Amino acid sequence: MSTELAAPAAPRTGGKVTLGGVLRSEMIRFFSLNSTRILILVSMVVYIGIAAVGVWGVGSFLQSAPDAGQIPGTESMGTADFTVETMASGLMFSQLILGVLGVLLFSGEFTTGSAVSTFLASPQRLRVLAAKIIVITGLSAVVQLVSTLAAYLVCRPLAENYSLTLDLGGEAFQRVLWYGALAVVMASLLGLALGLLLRNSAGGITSLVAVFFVLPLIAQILMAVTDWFKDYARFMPDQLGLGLALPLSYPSTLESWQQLAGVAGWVLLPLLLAGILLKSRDIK
Amino acid sequence: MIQVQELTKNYGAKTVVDHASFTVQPGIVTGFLGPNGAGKSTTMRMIVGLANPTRGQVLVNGKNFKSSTHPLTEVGTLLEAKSVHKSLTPRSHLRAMAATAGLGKSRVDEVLELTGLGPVQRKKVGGFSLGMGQRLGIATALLGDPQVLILDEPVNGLDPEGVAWIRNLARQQAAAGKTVFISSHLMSEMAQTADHLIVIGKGRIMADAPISEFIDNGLAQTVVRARDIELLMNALAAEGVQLRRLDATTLEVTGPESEDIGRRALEAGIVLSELRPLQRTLEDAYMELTRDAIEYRSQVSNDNPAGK
Repeated sequence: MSTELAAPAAPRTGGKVTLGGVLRSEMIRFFSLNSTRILILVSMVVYIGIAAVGVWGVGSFLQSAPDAGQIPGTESMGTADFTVETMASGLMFSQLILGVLGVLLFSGEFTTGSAVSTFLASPQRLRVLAAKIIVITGLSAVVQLVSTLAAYLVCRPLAENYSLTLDLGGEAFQRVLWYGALAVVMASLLGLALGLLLRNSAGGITSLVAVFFVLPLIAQILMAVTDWFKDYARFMPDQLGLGLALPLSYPSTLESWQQLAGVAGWVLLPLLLAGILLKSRDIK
Repeated sequence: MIQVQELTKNYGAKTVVDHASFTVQPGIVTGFLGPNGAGKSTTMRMIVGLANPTRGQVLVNGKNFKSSTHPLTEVGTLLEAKSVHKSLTPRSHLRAMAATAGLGKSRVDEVLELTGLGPVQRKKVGGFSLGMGQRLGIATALLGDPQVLILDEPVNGLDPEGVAWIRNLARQQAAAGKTVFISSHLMSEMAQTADHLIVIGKGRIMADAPISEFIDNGLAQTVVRARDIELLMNALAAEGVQLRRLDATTLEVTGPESEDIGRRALEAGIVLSELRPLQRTLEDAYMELTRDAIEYRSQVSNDNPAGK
């Protein structure tokens, strides 16, 4: 350890904290952590794996039972839309895995104490939240777009093998590509808000899973016993994103704009609440 | 300069910092001294905007740190807890911090070198010892070459060489005109580093003075032993003199210098068997100040015979 204080070589001009700087800082930390790289990888592998197995399964089923389309309940089998949605069956898992990534992005700050460093470097707390929103939105969107395109590349030869159509330019594929990314972004932003609200990884992940799995279950029960709840049940977060991307598998009575508004609500309200509390609570 | 005005922090019904007011001047090392739980860390967290004051305000170089546009070049902070993601390396942590403020990679290399972390810069922080973590915290604090340095218990876990290094660092920074504010619960540590002391106990500021005053302000104390103790007490009795019987032949005298006591005993013809000036150390002054303000007192009492 040198006992001399190194004098700055040249007068430093830097030091001003900007949103761009906080973004760069977030990116450096994000990609220095193994957990984030692993989650991104797992999300891609799971999505592409389920896509390949799904398309192969449907293809071989149709081949062994050529009259499948006539059996009630299987009418859509073999259609181009059905093939695309089969390819996208792993979307819910992408939502969950990247939602967990969103939780960890903020809960990790508090569980490890690094929030102290973060908010000393940028005392304006909402700027940090804004940077994290941009980082997780960009990353989860890119990851999902890449997953979908990679799944297409893997499934295309499988589909052709069973004479199924898998059309990159088709409406169904475009829906899966863009709305699928939106569904994943929704989950990761909801996760981010939960991670910030609860400041705890286990709690954040558990509540994310609860919102996506337990809440819909409760909604189902309420729907069965009450009438008035039906309108609300359609706005459950699991139904909204998937309904937009996979209308065949998750039919909804909502208009697209209503579904989009629902997605926006599930993102904005938790983030708003998290932002307000971030400003007022102490950083530990 | 740090100006703390009527600062108060409540956690529920508990008041952790109670109407604290003081100013930390640039150009000197100011020690912030108090027993564990006295409110040192909470005060420091409020100075840098991590904790919101219940009442009162803090100005760092004349403004609220929360609105600082150049936070890292204005204030360098080391807080007690390890504040680095444990899966990061010192290098990536410092690079991320530097990126926030638009500081270059060269400064990261400088502080890594400066704190002796060069050899471990690519190791994960999670495996660091307390001392290594402390060095990384100091590297982080120095990153922006800040005008104000706030160090919470910086010597915790450091080896003697590290302790000396911190002392040196604090002195040099102060000599360069910076504001240096260092907390400790050890008076002996502060005595060697600080020019000015602010003592806190149970959230209240108990003293705020140059360190020399802490040693000098106490009155002289002397222990005197004589067979004719009653006579001696009569001979010494005067205004400004406090006498306390310790036992049948011993007296504690507060006020006059020991030479005076000896002279008066001579004048009265009393034989002294002992005349011993009591050394009042900084540690004594500190203990005296904080005797009633210790939050977590060790429970070692005589009326608990067998121990438990």
